[in-house]
Amino acid sequence: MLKEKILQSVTILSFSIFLFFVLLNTGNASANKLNIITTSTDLRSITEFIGGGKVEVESITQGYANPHQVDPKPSFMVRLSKADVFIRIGLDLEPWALLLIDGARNPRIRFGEPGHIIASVGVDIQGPDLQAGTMIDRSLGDIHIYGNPHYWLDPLNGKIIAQNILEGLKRISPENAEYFNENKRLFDREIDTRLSRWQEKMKPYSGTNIVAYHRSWPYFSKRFGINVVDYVELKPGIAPSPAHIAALVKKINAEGIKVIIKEPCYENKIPNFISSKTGTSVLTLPVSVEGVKEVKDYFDLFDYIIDNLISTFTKQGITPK
Amino acid sequence: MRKVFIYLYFIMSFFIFMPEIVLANQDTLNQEVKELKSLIMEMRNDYETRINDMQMKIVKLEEQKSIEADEAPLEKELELLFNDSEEQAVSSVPAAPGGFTGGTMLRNLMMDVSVIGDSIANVTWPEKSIDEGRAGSPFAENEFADRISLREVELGLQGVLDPYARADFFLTAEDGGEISIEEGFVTWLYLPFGIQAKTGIFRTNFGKMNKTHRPEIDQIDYPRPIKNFLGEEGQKEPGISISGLIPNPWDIYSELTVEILTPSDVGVKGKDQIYLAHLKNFFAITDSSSIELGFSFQTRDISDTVDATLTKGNFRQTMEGVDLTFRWDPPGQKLYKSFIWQTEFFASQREAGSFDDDGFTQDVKDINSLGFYTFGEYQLTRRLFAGVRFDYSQFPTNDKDSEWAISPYLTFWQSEFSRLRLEYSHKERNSVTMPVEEGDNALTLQATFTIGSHRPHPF
Repeated sequence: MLKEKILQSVTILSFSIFLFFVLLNTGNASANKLNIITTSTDLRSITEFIGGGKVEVESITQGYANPHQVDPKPSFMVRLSKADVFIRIGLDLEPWALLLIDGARNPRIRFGEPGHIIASVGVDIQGPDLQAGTMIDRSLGDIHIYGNPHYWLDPLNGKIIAQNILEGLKRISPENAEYFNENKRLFDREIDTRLSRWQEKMKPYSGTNIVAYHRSWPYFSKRFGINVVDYVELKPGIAPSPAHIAALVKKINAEGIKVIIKEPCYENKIPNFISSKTGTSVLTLPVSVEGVKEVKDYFDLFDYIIDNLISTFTKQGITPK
Repeated sequence: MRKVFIYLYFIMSFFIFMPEIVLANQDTLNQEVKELKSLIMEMRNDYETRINDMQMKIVKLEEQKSIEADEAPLEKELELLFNDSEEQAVSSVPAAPGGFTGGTMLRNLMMDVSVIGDSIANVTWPEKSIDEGRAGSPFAENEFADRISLREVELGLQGVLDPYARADFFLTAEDGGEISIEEGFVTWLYLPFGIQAKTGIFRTNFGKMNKTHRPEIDQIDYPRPIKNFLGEEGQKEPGISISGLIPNPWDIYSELTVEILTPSDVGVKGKDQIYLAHLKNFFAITDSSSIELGFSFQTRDISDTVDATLTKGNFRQTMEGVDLTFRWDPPGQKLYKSFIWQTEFFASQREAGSFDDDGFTQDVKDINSLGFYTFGEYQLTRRLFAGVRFDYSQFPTNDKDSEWAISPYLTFWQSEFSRLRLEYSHKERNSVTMPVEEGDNALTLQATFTIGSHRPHPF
């Protein structure tokens, strides 16, 4: 009987503590700034441009991490539970985000609500050609059925991302619409100015063949006219096999390819091995803001990639056309 | 003089012909005046029409404004009504469509459909355990020993029901046998005060590993204490589960779950529910490392079960659990490096007794038993993981006997969707109630494979 009484008391006490904390949580902390959580540092950077002083932005992933592989840690759920806006890349890149949203229990940011912004809307997506009737299954690797999700690596797509963010912010905070509009105008102007400079720099290297580790570069290569002719990975998300590396070494030697680019989240061992057999340069390039410490915002990202590509091309004796 | 006459002639001619010229011009002028007058009239009519239209518009606008002014309080009231915190969950979403739409949803595949296959090949030595099948032995039989089998096939159907809830179904068939429900539940995600609730059949929230389906755990089979304390394949029961986040000034993830479950034992009556509580706390130490600490508790009346050891009323079994998980996986090297260490402790207090020939209770006693497991797993390369697990467990109905096992293993992920695992296991049994012989060994190869879309698992 004594045990039952103890159990009863413990149960009642637990419920009381729980209810106390639940009731304590009913008042949301009022903040002047919109609390925004993004899934990537690139989205965070663009949101900071558009939102300016009216927003407080945090990214779930780090710029040097692999965006495909993120653990839905409960600590992210706590952050999302207080968010006014959630912005994600979309295109099946962040399946882990669904668990975070469910776990956050925040109806403001669930899919379909004004506080849930998908940045890919309106982007001309590259990827599986469904209309052409191409068969798509996992024999192609860990592909994204809706298309390649690394679209932020084209600066013009940055403007579309910014437009989606602008519309989302205006929905949530219409009183600041003019302020956001003006920031968007400045962002677009900055992109246009810098894009012509970046294209001018890359123009002499148009048509240069390179090898990449992962399929992160279709948007960048299309915009700046370089050719990614093969990949270190066997298939997207599938680790390279010895046979594939042997074939790749032959191809690089046969076609005179001089540069391998890789993302910070991938290993160096295999690219360095290929380099030792072919004389290619292995260049680690960030694919996101803060992928390396020099890249602090979205504009820095392209400055860094383009400057390092050109210096590596020069080092390898690739002459401007 | 002649010049004077010429001037006079012109002057006289002017005065003679002047009236005719004037009259002629007068007709033209009159005509022009008439045309001008007509034009002005036309313009006046036009302007009058326009002014009338504008006046009509102004009147309409004023009426509209008046209507809007009348409607403003209503809008405010509606805004207040839907801003009410208790209605927050349903305020900003469209009304749920009427009628049943499951057929359309299935046709459009608006859900995740996956099939997981779990195949094992197992050799044991010495020959199958001497304890198996012995009457009264607490030691379980390894039904998959010395054979190749498709141990389990699991079909997962997961999707969103409507703006408020989602549903998850997992059907399973063991060794090519009958299909049974592993789990099937609906979860309401956005109840007031951040509460979530689910109902159906589900794996209970006792401890850490019990919530994970067997093909997806880090070793080939559940640890001995889970098998002994919660059931051969863990604990899953029909019931209701309610959870909420506990706010705290440190922004630590702290989730309290309470569950009321109907045990699936034969002979259980309505009063004999399982009451379960679980407190999950998550601490992100750095970007790379984290600790999860959980506390579990459950209690139930076991008087009405068919357990032969129970003969008096109000017997109760209570269990407590503590789970601790440390993870290290640096975000920049996550593909290649990670480490996990996980430990769970289980304690059970079970009241037991019997009647003598005269109907008096005798041998009334509490069975206090313990168990724990601990494992560490390190990622060697992108696809290769090595780990070792140690299990120790007594039995809820027998705290004199115990068993322990050690299981080193290697896991090779061919891709995200297929996995091979080789595990060696050595098990020893200690019994005061019966003689036991030397420990037994097992070498098991497991192939686990997934097709379709499978929702990521909770961290």
